[in-house]
Amino acid sequence: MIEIDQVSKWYGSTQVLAECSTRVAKGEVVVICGPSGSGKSTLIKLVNGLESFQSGRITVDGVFVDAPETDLPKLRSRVGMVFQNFELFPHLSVRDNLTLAQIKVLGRSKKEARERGLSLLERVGLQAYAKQYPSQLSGGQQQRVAIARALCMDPICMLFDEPTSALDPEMVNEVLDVMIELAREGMTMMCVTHEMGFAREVADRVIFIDQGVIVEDCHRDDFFGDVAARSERAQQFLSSILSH
Amino acid sequence: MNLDVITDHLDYFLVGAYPHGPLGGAALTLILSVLSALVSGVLGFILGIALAVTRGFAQTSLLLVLSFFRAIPVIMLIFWTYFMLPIVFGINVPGIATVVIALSLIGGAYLAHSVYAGIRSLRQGQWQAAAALGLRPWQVLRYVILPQALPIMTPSFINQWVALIKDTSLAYVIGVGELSFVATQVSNREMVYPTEIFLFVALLYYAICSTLEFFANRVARRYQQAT
Amino acid sequence: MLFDSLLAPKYLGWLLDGFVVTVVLSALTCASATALGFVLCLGRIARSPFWSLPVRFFLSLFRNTPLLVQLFFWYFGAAALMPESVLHWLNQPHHWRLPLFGVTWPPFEYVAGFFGLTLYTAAFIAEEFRAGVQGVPPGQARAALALGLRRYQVWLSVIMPQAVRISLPPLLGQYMNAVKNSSLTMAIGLAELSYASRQVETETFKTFQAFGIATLLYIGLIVLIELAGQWIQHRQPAH
Repeated sequence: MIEIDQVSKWYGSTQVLAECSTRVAKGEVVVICGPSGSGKSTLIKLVNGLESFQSGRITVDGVFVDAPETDLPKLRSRVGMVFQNFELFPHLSVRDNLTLAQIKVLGRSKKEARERGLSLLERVGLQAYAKQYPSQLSGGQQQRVAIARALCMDPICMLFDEPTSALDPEMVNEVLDVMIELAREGMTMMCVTHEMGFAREVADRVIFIDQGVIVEDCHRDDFFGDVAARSERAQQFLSSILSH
Repeated sequence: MNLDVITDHLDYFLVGAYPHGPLGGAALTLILSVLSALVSGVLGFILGIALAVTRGFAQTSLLLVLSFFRAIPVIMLIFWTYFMLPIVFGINVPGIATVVIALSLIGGAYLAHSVYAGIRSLRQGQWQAAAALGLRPWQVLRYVILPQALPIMTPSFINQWVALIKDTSLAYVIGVGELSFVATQVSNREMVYPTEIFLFVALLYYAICSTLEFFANRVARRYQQAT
Repeated sequence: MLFDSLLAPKYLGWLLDGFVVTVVLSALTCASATALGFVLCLGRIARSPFWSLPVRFFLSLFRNTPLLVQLFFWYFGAAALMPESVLHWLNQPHHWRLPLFGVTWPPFEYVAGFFGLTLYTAAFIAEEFRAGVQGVPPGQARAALALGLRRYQVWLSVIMPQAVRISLPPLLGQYMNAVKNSSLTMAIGLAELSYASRQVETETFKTFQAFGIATLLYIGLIVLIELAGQWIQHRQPAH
């Protein structure tokens, strides 16, 4: 589904990603972790072309992301993305947040779009909030709406960029529950997150990035079970994150 | 205080020689203001968006051109348009058009920066989120960025338009018969009571400017509550 | 000489004279308007409506009427209000010999122009100062009071320095406006740069040269203020 092949990226003269390669199969759930500034958010934003890269190649469902002839908006409409800061559109009601792209990008009728939006809102447990504005919702509720917004587009895969790191601790689980359910239903997912509980529960593979390099790319059970076989940096990272 | 000089010439202050001659006075001031406000608003939007979507050389040259219009006095630009427009286009350009063009260029240059600043004040994440949904760049602007940036820009638009109303008085220097010009005409003709005349004219301008400010603020407040 | 072929030295001299008038007039206006604006700002933020109401009215009136009309008012209107003897004195040439240099009382249009520009500019500067004072977080005053400082000390050593820093960029913007606005005094016959360029144009019919040189001189002044602003801001410690 997603193939990342020898990708490097520079900001000016600083290299943020160095020859990263990995692939995500259909229905697979991959968790990407690593210290802050390691390049993990950048990597996930390359997949739908929100950031550009200088060498290597990325394909999504057989489409080259950086090819000039690729219709990026069209590709993006098939790839769902959830952001750290939710990024709901504050000037639109929850319902209009859900329908905007369905109508303008997919060309669905208003009625169709609203029905689809409502059913997904129900799925994330927020059907009562359709007429509210994002600022009237808690952080956890906003992020669930953001997930529903992405799902409205019937994506072939979902990208999560630290979806819980801007949330108050008591709201993390309501978002993770939605993500776990999604994973169990067979959605292809790439998740940048530090929630190791989530990774243990549903991830097929865990990727560990440090300083722009993919240091570990292995099965969940190897990553958590066989700690001694992991690199020193990964061990340090794991102990710092799991110690509390 | 002698108010006869005002009442005697009230029609002339308000509409100039109309209906026996060309429209002038406060009515012409209003027309100049509305036209310049519209054109400068459109220019400001186009140039502000251009600033937001361009990079590098194109953006720098655009910024330089805008700085030019912000750096020169309105009077100098009116001179330029007054003398250069007929040379460039080879036709006689009416004074009203000259003033509207000059004021719109300057107003547009200022508004472009307000529009640009309003657009830039939004988080990068809003662009990314909208793009990630598959919206095309102009759709991102139209449906996500501008609706949010608009309430942020309204105060500068109001300020700029008030400045524009005041600047229409500079049409005086090329003899366009708007309110200030009419005032000096009456003052010169009567030779007495200039205090009353200019006080009255100042209050007329004050009424126009504060009315705009009042209603614009009300509209802006309602708009901001709705979002 | 490059300019010889463009414009005779005589006319260049006119433009230069006009430029000097513009520079002096703008500088004097900025200085006096800053002082007056500061005082007006104090009145504007005073708790007692006895002070704040009239100042509010003054600011609103001066900001919302055209400078050109204000200049006409001071030039034609104020003259009509003045006693005959004062007017007579103002219209006569006066010269004082001081130890180092002589001072000549300028013609009335200079006095009216300077006066009108100063009041207009001060009204805008007062609002910039007020915005600066309001830009200081209220916690700052509370923290200073909690340390035992007296109210005037809080103002002098905590609020003011921060407010001045906040209002510096908009203040420089107002100085640029003062330079540009000084061109309006040509309407009351003050021989500044715009007036000179118009005169040169009328005499020589060299539109492009006359307005071009004047425009460049204006831009030069604005750039100078811009550079001064950047220099001052670079010297300030970042915070």
